[in-house]
Amino acid sequence: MNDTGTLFHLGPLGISVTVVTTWAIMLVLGAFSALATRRLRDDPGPLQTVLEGVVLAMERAIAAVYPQTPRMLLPFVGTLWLFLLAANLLGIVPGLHSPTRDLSLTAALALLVFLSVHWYGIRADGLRAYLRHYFSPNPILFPFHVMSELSRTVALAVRLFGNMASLEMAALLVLLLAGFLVPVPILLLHVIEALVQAYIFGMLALVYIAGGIQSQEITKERKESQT
Amino acid sequence: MQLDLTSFILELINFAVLVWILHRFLYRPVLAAIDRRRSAVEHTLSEAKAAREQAAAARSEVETRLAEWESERAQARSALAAELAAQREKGLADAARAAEQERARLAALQAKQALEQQRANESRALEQAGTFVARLLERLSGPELDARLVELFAADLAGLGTERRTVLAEAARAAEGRVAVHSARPLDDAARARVEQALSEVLGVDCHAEFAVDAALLSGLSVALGPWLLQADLRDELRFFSAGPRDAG
Repeated sequence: MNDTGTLFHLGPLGISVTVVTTWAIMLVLGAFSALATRRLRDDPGPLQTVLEGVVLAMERAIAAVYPQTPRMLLPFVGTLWLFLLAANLLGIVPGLHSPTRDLSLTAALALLVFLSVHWYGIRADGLRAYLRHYFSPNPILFPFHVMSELSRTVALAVRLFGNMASLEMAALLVLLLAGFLVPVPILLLHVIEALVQAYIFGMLALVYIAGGIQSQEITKERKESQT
Repeated sequence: MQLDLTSFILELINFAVLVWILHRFLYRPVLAAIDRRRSAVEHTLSEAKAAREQAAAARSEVETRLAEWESERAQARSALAAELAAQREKGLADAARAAEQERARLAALQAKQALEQQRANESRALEQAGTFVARLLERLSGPELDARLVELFAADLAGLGTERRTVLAEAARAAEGRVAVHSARPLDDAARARVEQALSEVLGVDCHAEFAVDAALLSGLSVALGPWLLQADLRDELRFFSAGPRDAG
């Protein structure tokens, strides 16, 4: 069994470490959220203040990109940020590995982002209007639109996977070669990298989704101005 | 770098479930709490704003009322001042009128007093003059003056008008010619005869005189003919002299 290999089988399904780690993160985040938000008060305590600060910060970050309805995108984009932050930082814990160094996870997230772009785009102004933007401003650009979306999705998956896998590999190599305490700066770099990568992934997803929605609005505005 | 399909699918499901979990247990309650508190704050702010507006309106109303009171007070004060000025003017006019009346009354009183004083002075002067003249004439009178007054009596009697003569003649006839003659001193016979002669000639009646002495006459004689009294004496002349100015005044 390697680090990302199958841990056990659940019937015909081989459950990998990545999936188990993801379940653990889900459990922790879910349990913490349920416990922390069990008794929310109008006069907030320290924990509630932190929670509200985190949620409001994410809402404002989303509103900076897509100010129309930031709360519509908050569950998806916010969950990306929180999950990726927890997953990336998990690699610091001795004996554990970041699930984001598994391409299966990053690819799954990239696919979800890809689907979300279309979902929110279609939801904003309907299927026809959404599909029409692929042929705008000229139908010749349709293949380029498709290639762009596929490539950016692949890049999204590979970027996160590559960064996190290489970071863990580098930390492991330094630990093996240099010995005790030397990889500490690498661990600090790991923390920064975890934060940055989580932010970049979530922000790119937000930009893609907002671009999908706003491209409909731009197309609609152009049509209205022409009429 | 390998892509496990099972893990890929399970991660898709896992993330979708995580989205639901966090949406259910984190985002929704936290956002609801934030909205609730924001709503409470906005409600409090709106209440504070409403209270502030009410206070501003009340303040404006009070200021307006104070301004109205101030205006009314100024108007009342000016009306009172005007009324006081009018009353003062009226009082001053009444006082001036009363003073003028009093002054006129005093002037009239003083004029009256002066006139009375003047009259009293004149009367006293006349009395003194009469007294002085009476004393002087009393000292100057004598038989010569009596004789001259007898002649004057005769001349005046001769100068009477017809009507008076007729009246006197009738009185003499009614008295059967008796005439009472008073003189300051006893007349001599010639003077007595001259008196009877003058009466008889003027009246046409034979007159007989009864002579008597009246020292009060000072000089001259007084003839009583029935109801008529003919006087040619100094006392009567002095009385006429004393009474003359009073009658004239």
